[in-house]
Formats: sequence, structure tokens, C-alpha cells
Amino acid sequence: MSTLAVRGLDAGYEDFQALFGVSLDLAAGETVALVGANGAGKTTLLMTVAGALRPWRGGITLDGTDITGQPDYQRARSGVVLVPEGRRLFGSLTAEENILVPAGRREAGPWTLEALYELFPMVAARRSHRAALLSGGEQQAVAIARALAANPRVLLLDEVSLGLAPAIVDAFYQLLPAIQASGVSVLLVEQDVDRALAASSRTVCLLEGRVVMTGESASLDRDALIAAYFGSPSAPPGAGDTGRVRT
Amino acid sequence: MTLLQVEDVHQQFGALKVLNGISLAVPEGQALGVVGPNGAGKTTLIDIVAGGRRPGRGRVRLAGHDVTTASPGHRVRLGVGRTYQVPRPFGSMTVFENALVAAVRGADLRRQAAHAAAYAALARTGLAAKANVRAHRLTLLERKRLELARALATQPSVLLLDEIAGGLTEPETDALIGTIRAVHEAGTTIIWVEHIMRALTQVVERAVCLADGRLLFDGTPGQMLADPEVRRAYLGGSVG
Repeated sequence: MSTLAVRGLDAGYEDFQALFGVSLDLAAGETVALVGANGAGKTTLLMTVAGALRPWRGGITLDGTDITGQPDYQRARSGVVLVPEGRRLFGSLTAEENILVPAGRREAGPWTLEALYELFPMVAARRSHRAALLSGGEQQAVAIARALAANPRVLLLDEVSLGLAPAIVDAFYQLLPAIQASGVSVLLVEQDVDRALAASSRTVCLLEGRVVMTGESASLDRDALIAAYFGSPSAPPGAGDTGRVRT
Repeated sequence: MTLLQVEDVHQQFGALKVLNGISLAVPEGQALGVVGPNGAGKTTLIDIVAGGRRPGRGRVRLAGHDVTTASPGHRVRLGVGRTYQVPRPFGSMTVFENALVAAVRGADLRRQAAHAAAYAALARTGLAAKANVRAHRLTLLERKRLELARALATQPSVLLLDEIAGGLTEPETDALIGTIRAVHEAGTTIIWVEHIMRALTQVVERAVCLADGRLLFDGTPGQMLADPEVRRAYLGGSVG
């Protein structure tokens, strides 16, 4: 059984529909990469899974339980946690206080404050500084640490590497296998295609709100994938042996 | 000729020393890349050049004139344009109106000249077809392009870019690189803070690395990628 199952999701904003019948499965300890051009619906999908946006149609289950109607804060308590694009910290709280926000509801797990500070030494160095005074990259690191602190079951990562120095991005991706090994399922939006393919077992490509290609990341044709981003006619039909084009 | 000169600039937030004696001379027409670990002081340096922050110590000169105490608005009119890490356009205004505000307020242009400057900025950034779309409807790439268009509409002689390539897909990054390169080739001096090395190295001819508020490296992008100190402090193992 999938840890997370998304079925036939339609979602959008006011009169604008951003997702059309999106379905997706995430097994325990599996990482799925979500790729696509900006505006393809990646962030909308993560927000809908996190409960920040109500879908128009379709359903979401966590371990077989329907959570479609659950508000975001309940979903977070159930273990579905989003690292949102654009940091969204409490500026007047310190870095450490931000990380401890979910602490009241935290599950026992590997992500203690000490483990998080080991992952992000730059956050440790700024732990008692107000979040509003941190640099952009430091804020991004705090946002990731805050999500991990809840010891989530499903981690939704929306461009975690945004604004982070290359060495820190490396450190984070080197840790991802350990996060998976602890049984956490990860849905990952990452603009660096090579990194997205390397970090995931499967890749799903969205184009204009629809799933246009899915495949095993290890054997996916990189050029076909990039062509699928833009619905380019140069994308080979069937997109290679492992990819699958749905229209 | 040196267009921009930063002299022994210091900046401190409480007990935290963010910049610790930075000196930098940027010749007219140069494209300079600025990299460094998170919290190294890159955005603070941009803020100080743009006038959003006054340095605790040190001077900023533009074409030889001391502008250290000039307001951000004054500096825009002197030719210092900038973009922000997180674009915040006026969402309820159209793309054209956003560029127009920059042309009127930033370049001090009157009606017709301002309209022309706004349109020219949209054309250069590939946004002409979106001129009448409200800004809140834009995708991330388009918001980044509008951020660039607004800076260009102020008609800068030096353009400060703060992580403008972050969050873009590979083909989107390539498209944006093309636009920035064209701006550079038209003669605009560029100072570009960026973590996406692939984007930076395709445009800049000089790169500096900040670490702990000091200049760790100053040279060509190729030399920087190979520099052991830069690799240790910033790049890690996988780049270059």
C-alpha cells in the first residue's frame, strides 16, 4: 500500500485551474522527483497535498486513510510536512524558536536539535538570532530544519536548494538517503535535473497541470525529460524505454 | 575607468560582523560575479551599494563621486539599479504599469519617455506580450523577468542582481542568461550575486568570493572554480 496516494486531483485558484486529474503514489521510504517548467503546477500540487489548498476534485490518502478534507495543521500532525517555497519564517522569533515551533507535536525520531545543527552548522551559529535578521540562505536552512524537526512521514520539499551555497546543497542531498532509510517518503521539487534524477527513485513530469511523463529516475532519458517540460514536439513518443507519455 | 568603488566597508548587526573591510573597484562595463557561503554578506554588500543600508564604516563611490550617504532613490537616479531575491511586483498592477513606475520614479522620466523606457525594458526581458497581464498572474520566471525589467526601466549604468537565477528550471535559466548577457553586451556594468555557478560563469569575466565578511578570492571564474580555498569554504566537492 502506498504511504501517500493522490487520485485524480483537480485544483486551482478562483477561476484558474492549475491541476488536471493528477495521480501519484509514494511508497514508504521512496523519493519521487517532480519536475516541470515554472507554472506547470508543481507548487500547487505540493500545497494541495499539504492541505494548504483544497482540491476541486479528487482525493488524497495517507496510509489508506482519506485526508482530503483535513486542514493543513491536522495534516502536519499526521506527518505530512511541507517546506514551502520562499522561507516563511516567524521573523521575530529566533532561528531555534522557529525550529521548535512544531516541537509540541513532534514525533520521536532522528531529527533532534543536535542532529539538525549538525546538518546545518550555519544555523547552529545563528541559533539565537532573530529569523528576520538572517540572510536569505540561512532562512532557507531554518525552514528545512523546522520541517525535519517534526520528524515527518511524508516530506514535501519545494526547491529546498534555493539560495543555499553549493556545499550546503551537497550536504543536504548526501543526507537524503538517511532520511529515506528512516522510512520517510519524499516528494521533491528540484530545478537541477541531474540532482533530481540522482536523488529520486521515480520522476514525474508535469506540463500545464497534467502528468505527461513518469519513469524510473535511473534510466530516464534526460533530454526527453527536458523536452517533456515544454511539451516540445522533439520529445520522442513514449520517451524511451522506461518513460511513459500520457496525453 | 572605475565606475563603482567600495572602500573598506564594514557592517555589523548587533554583535554579528557581516562585512569586515571589503574593498572592491569595478571598471565600467565589467560583469562581476559575487559568490560566498550563506551569511557571508553578499546581499548586505548589494544593499550598501544600492543605498538601502549605510555602512558602519567605509565609502561607496560612483564614477568618482562619494554616494555613501545618498538615499536609495537618489542612487537609482544616479544609475544604480537592483533586483531583489524575492520579487515583489505590485500584484494588482499590470506588467507594463510595474515597469512604468520604475521608469517614472527611478529614471525621473516624463510621460512619453517613461512609456518608451518601460516598453523597451519589457521588450529586452521578453515580457512585451505580457504587458497587460496583472503581475500576480505571472509565473516565477516571468516575475524574475519583471524584476529585471523594473531595474532596467530605471536605466542603470550599474545593475545589481541578487540571486535572480534561483528557482528556475534549466531551460528557463538559459533563457534568462541570454537576456542578462545581452544587457551586459549593451554596455551595462553588472554585479551579480548568484549560487547557480552555471549561470554566473556564462556571463561574468571576473568573480569574487566573500567569506566571513572578507574577500576570500578575486579573479576569473575559471580560477575561482579551481581555487582550493573557495572549494573548501563554498563550493564543496561537486561543482567545477
